[in-house]
Amino acid sequence: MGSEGGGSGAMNHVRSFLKGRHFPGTVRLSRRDKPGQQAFDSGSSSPTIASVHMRNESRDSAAGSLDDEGTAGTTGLQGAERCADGIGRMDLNDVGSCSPSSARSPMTPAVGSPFRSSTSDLRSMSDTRVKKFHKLLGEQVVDLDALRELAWSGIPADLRPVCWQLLLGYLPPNRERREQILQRKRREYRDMVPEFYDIANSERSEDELGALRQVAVDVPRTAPGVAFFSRPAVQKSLERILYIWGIRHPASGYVQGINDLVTPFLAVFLSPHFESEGMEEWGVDELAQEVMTAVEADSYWCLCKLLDGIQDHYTYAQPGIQRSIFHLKELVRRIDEPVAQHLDNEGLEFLQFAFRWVNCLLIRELPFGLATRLWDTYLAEGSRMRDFLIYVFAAFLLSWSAELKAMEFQEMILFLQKLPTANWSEKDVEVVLSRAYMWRASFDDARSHLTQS
Amino acid sequence: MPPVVQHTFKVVVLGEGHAGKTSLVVRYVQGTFNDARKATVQASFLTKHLDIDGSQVELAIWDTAGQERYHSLAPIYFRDAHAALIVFDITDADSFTRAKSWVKELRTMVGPGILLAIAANKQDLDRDRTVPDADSKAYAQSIGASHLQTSAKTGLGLEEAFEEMAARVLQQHNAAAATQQQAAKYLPGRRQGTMRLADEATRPPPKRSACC
Repeated sequence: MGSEGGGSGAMNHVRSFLKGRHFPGTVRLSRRDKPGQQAFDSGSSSPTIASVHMRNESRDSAAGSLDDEGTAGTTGLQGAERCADGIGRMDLNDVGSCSPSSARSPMTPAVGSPFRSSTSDLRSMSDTRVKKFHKLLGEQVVDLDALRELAWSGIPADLRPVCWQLLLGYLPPNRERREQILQRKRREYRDMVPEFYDIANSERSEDELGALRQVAVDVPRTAPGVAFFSRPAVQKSLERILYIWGIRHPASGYVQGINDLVTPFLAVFLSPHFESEGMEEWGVDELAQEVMTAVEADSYWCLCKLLDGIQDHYTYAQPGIQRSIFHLKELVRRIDEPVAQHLDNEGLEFLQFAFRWVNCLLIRELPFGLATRLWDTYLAEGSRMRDFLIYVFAAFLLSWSAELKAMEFQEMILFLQKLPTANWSEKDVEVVLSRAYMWRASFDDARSHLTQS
Repeated sequence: MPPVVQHTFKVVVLGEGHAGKTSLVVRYVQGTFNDARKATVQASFLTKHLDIDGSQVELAIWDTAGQERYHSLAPIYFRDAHAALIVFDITDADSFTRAKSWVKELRTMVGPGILLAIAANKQDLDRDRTVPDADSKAYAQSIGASHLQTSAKTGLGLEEAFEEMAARVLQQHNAAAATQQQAAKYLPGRRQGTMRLADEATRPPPKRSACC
């Protein structure tokens, strides 16, 4: 369990999101007063679920931490909250990233924006939880492991820019070095623009022209449902980021879908610069040039960091995706044999629906605003993200286990390519993430299905 | 009650990225056009019901991703297709070149059995045209494919493209059925409210020679 790296804290959060959910096969939920005695029936809603027992009894440290204390629906940060009391506030400026241009208090709750905390989200708005973030970020050298554990369950919207940049290793944990590094990386990017992008087409190779063309046709097709991304200034930034990334990563080059992966970075890194809650109202065109350039540079480098671990998703024949889908299929078979068998009987191949999931890390399957919540956990996973994603995909698919089993091929493929997530909230995403977490914990001993290839 | 489907034919739509494959299929199936669609990653599945001279035909259409990188995915969509609609953009000569390479690949991988149609798309952008219709028509003729001038924006030629394709597949199918007793099992009846794709529900997939 040591390898779980502070997982027990995250496991505490798991408990908050289990209510009324079905966990086929591996996890047994029970009432607090009768731990371990009642199987949780699929589809029924239990009024209080106070504990979760991993079927594998040997994982006693994980299970133990779940059994400890706490009530469903609370933050599950009991210990952490106690020691976070009275910790001083932190100025975002000190962290050296994306200084807010307005005087808006960093903690002002704002409802309705995907990039601001929602007042209804009790957990992420919990004062103690926010204090804990501030305490961590206020340290001279940020404890990244502690930040990972905390961030896994969601980051307060105002702290997302700095947290993401720390988690990705773009910002150094030592705050003294941050400003300097940031200046240097932004300068490096600024220098790349004239070197690679702002050149005459006659100076570009055939491949480069092809890449530019591909990027140019994809930029206007990026997040078409989000008006913000149709602003000329944003599109120009996107185009530069994607083209330069492709040129600097010749093993893969730019691949469709990578455009989707930049959008959370741009949106989150720009968010501190606007008063307004809704992205539609962000006056990007009036933004100071240097701010936009800095955000663009940060987004570029963070995209690089994100893709570093999964570059073979995008190289020739996309072996990373093929392998992930192979593992996903195996995992689903282990978790929910009837569904796996049903898909097989109907002749539905995982590649036919899960390719896009892996290629775009589920961004396309969810309302745009929820991608940021997904990113919190992905980035908190760090180098383990790649394997964790497979559990996330499995949990996502099996959210509709019962529905799928009742469908035939055509209905199923139509359903899977447009899953009913339009009304999903962060909570739904968190259920998926929590199930993924638990499945990983229970399959951790038998990871052969993820390591053989 | 929709009429009972007598035949389901699988159609794969191929072509260069941004040639307008998704727009074309969506316009045909749903009657809508939207300039700003997401680039297709993997492939989308749509169906369309047709009445071809009294025969009830359902087209099961796989709209594939166009970018070169997704090339390795294509075989799972075209390998048991009855017909392929290959789309290019008349304002983009490269996309015409790519269309030709798709034809070569289909001929190699699937053989002569798959019916081909070439869609010269974006006819509404005639003034930016770089591929003359005469060129693509001549090419289509040389490979025994039908040639259609289409525009997803105006809807031009879409009904014709798919109906002509369905009619040809049906014709081949009926000819094969007449001579091959075995072909009977590829005419699944439609069950109440649901249906089976003959090719998808049968494992392993039927040999192409059964109907072509």
